[in-house]
This record gives sequence, C-alpha cells and structure tokens, in this order.
Amino acid sequence: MIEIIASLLQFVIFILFFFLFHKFYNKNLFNVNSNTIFQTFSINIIIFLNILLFFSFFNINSNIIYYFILILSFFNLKNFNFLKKELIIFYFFFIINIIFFISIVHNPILGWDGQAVWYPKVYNFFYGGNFFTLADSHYAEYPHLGSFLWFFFWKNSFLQLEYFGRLTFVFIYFVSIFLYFGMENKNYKNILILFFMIFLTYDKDLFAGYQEVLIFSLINIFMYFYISLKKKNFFFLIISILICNSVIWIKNEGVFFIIPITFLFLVSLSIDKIYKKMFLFFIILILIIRVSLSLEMMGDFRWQGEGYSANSLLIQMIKYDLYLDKVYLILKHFIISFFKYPIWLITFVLLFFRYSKLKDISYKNFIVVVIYLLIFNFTVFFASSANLEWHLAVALDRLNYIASAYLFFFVYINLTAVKFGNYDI
Amino acid sequence: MQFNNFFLNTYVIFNKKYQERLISVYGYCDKQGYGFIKSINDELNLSNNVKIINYDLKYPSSYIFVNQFHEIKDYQYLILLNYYETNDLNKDFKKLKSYESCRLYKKR
Repeated sequence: MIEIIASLLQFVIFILFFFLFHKFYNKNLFNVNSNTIFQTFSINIIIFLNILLFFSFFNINSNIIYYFILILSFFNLKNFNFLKKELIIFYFFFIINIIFFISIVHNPILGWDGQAVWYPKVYNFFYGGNFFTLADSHYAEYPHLGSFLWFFFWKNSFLQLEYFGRLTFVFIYFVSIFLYFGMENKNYKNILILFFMIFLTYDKDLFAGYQEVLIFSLINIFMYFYISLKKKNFFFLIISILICNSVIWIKNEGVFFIIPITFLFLVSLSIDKIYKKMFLFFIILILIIRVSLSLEMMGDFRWQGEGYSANSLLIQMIKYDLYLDKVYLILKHFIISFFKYPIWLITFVLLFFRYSKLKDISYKNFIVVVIYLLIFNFTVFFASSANLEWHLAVALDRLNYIASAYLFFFVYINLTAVKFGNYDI
Repeated sequence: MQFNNFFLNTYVIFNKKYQERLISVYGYCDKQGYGFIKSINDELNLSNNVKIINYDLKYPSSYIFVNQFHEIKDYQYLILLNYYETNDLNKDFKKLKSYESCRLYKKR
C-alpha cells in the first residue's frame, strides 16, 4: 500500500519538478496551436538533465538541489491552471504513467546491463561519489548521466527504494510521446493513434535499468521541436544543444546518434546561417568537453572496452573471408529486430507509399537519416570483435530502438494525417 | 490496464513486501540467489570479501546484492549458486551453510 502511495506522490513530484520554467518561450513560435503542458515538461526535462550533469562533477549534496527545486516549484503552484484547459489529456497521461509505474514497482528487476554497468554508477553516487570517483569502477568509459538521474530520484524518494529512480525514465518516455498529441489541435480521436504509438515503442525490458529509453525520448523531443517550430531561432538552438549534450553523456553511442540531429539542423531552410554556425561550434565544444573530462577521469582514452579499439577494428576489416557470413547474420538479425519494433516496418511501408514525395526536401532529408541509421547500426556489428551471434542477440534490438526515435514523428503524422504549417513529409 | 496486468500487479504489491518481490524476480536459491545471499549478508558483511560463482551462466553475476561490483582476489567467503554436485570443494574451504543448490564456504 505504502509503495503505491509513494509512487503516486512520485508522479506529483515529477509534475512539480518539470513545470518549474514555464514562461520563457512564446507559443507563437509554433506551427500549430499547440502550447501544451508537455512542451513545458519536455523543455524542463532537457534543462534539468543539463543541470544534473553539471552537478555530477562536484561533491554537492543532492538533497540541497532537490529541496531547492521543490521549494521553488511550490511558488509555482498558482500557474497550474493548465489542468483546466488540458484536463482530459492530462488524465490519460496520469493513468498511463501510474499503470507503468505499478508495473515496475511490481517487478523491480534490473536487466543485465542495468546490473553490470549502470547500477554500480548509481551506487557510486548514492554513497557520496561524483563523476571522478567512477574511475576505479568497471565500465568507467561508459557515461553516467542516466545513472545520475536514477540516483537523484532514488536518493530523494520517500521510501528510498532503488526503483523510484527508474520511474523518472517512464515519466520522460511518456512526456516525449504525449508531446505529439498537441499537434493536431486536440482531436481526441487521435489519442487512439497515440496509444498505438505507445504499443509500437514501449518495451518493458528497457525500463530494467537500461539507458536507451532516455536517448529515445530526447531524440523524440528534438524531432517534435524540429517539425513544429515555425521559426527556428535562438530558443531552438539552445534546446538542440542541450539535447545533444544530454545524449552524449547518457551512452557512448549517443555521439553517433546526434549526427542526424546535426544534419537536420544544418540542412534546415528555416534556420539562419548564424545559428547553424553557432550550433556547429557548440557541438564541437561539447564533444571536446566530453572527451576531456573522460580523459581526466580515466587517465587514458577508452571507448566501449577493447571491442572497438583501433587495433581490433583493423583486424576485423582485414578478415575478408568472413564478410559474407557476417552480412548474412547481421541482416537476419535486422529483420528479426524490425519485427520486434514494428515501427520500422511501418516506416518502410509508409516510405514506399509516399515515394511521390521524393522531390520534397524534407522527405529527402528523412530518407538520408533513415539510411544513416541503418548503415551505422550495421557497421557497429560488422566491426565488432565480439562473438557476432551473441552481440547481435543482446545489442541490436536496443540500437534499433534508439534509432526508431527518428521515425516516430514520421509514422505519427502519417497515421493521423496531421497538417502542420510549412512542414510536410 | 488489462494488457499490463495492472490489477494483478496492484494485488501483488499489496500482498508481497519489497524483499519478497525481489526474491520472486532474482530467486532465493535459484536464478541469481538473491534470497540466499541476502540472508548471509545480513549476518556476515560480505562486501569486498566474497567470491560468488553461479553455475547457471544465463544470469548476470550476483555481486550487486552485496554491493561489490567485481571479482576480487582476496576473499574470505565463497558462495556457489545453482551447484548441484554432491562433493564439496577442496580442503582449503570449510562449508558453513548449505541450502538446496546453494553453498557458503569460508577459507580455512
């Protein structure tokens, strides 16, 4: 009983935390009349992740940050009039969060990576460590932002049980999904399609301590702002950089998954050149900071263990005789993975039926992103020095899951037939 | 709700404490041996003082339950999980506890 009440309170805490900044952007920026609470939540999540990242490098008592934000949010209560305007959708959001919270509370298991890689980092923070004290841990080369978020809400939860930290992942995931609801002027018929999208992208196993769902949600949020902002100005620049910065500190693969974001930003016709230059500058800067801090912490540069060292990559490349077998095996597992996450299959079908759009620049750009994602995920396994069958079985699904975040908007807007301003795909 | 077993999950949370649910998912003496390791860890502080061998290789290592995240060379205690052999280890180890397929040994 007490755990269920604590879970409900945790939901309230998330609402308070992620509604803190709510008056700093203009709703006229958007293509559609879609100034929803989920926009506010998602922007706050992005800012909050970057604040947490900053504090993770210092030995600062997390309780201070937690209660400071909580007190600030109480002053904010008078602004919660959104409940009147968006009560029905908020009700759905609340119900679905609680259902999936309860699912984790009931079965608080951690998956393999959750136990071996991410939980030890959480434990480090829980007992007073910071980013630099991770140096002695196994998998020190894996980044830590997801673990720090997990720790933050675990440490400051009512019952101080581990899974409370992971409930944040559920909340963020659903914010990134419900965000799209505002796009079609509150047509509540489309909520069924929203639930269908959840069915396509929700995987219970990924909430067992894995980090993929966080990257998925952040990319999903980026894509929402990318397609729904009329004029992509300084606000969009900041949001995009903060998202990229979060993604590269959640998983090492994040560095490769921000390449499509960079590409879309640079080819967009509605972004001024000056912002494009600034974006490139900041992307390079955050990558330099990421590498420098990791070097400072570990003392040397490592990337996903020995599996992807330069030496190992070279050896894999000269094994010509294995090329055909590898390609066959990888393709076989790709097909299996597409059935596990059918958003891929639906994307391929939609792309096929929308081929008449091939002349449109936004359609072309989308195709380029899909091809990049497929090639990247293929190369990860083609260059792998691990047992390929095993590696594909344990890792390909999750990589394809992250990549599917770029497909979400495409499937959603095609299923709902939403027209939104100057963006058509 | 039905798809997610919401009502069943709620019922289980009402009727099973957190530790019991952890035993359900990680096993007492099966799977990762959470219950067995936890009961020993409550008596003896095993952290950074134990080697755990799980003979069922499909599970991750169980060091997480004693907050020791890797193997160490110097240890006093040895835990075997999913160990179905009847013979004991060599005479360097003394058997302290045995339950179904789990064993606890201490270095002599």
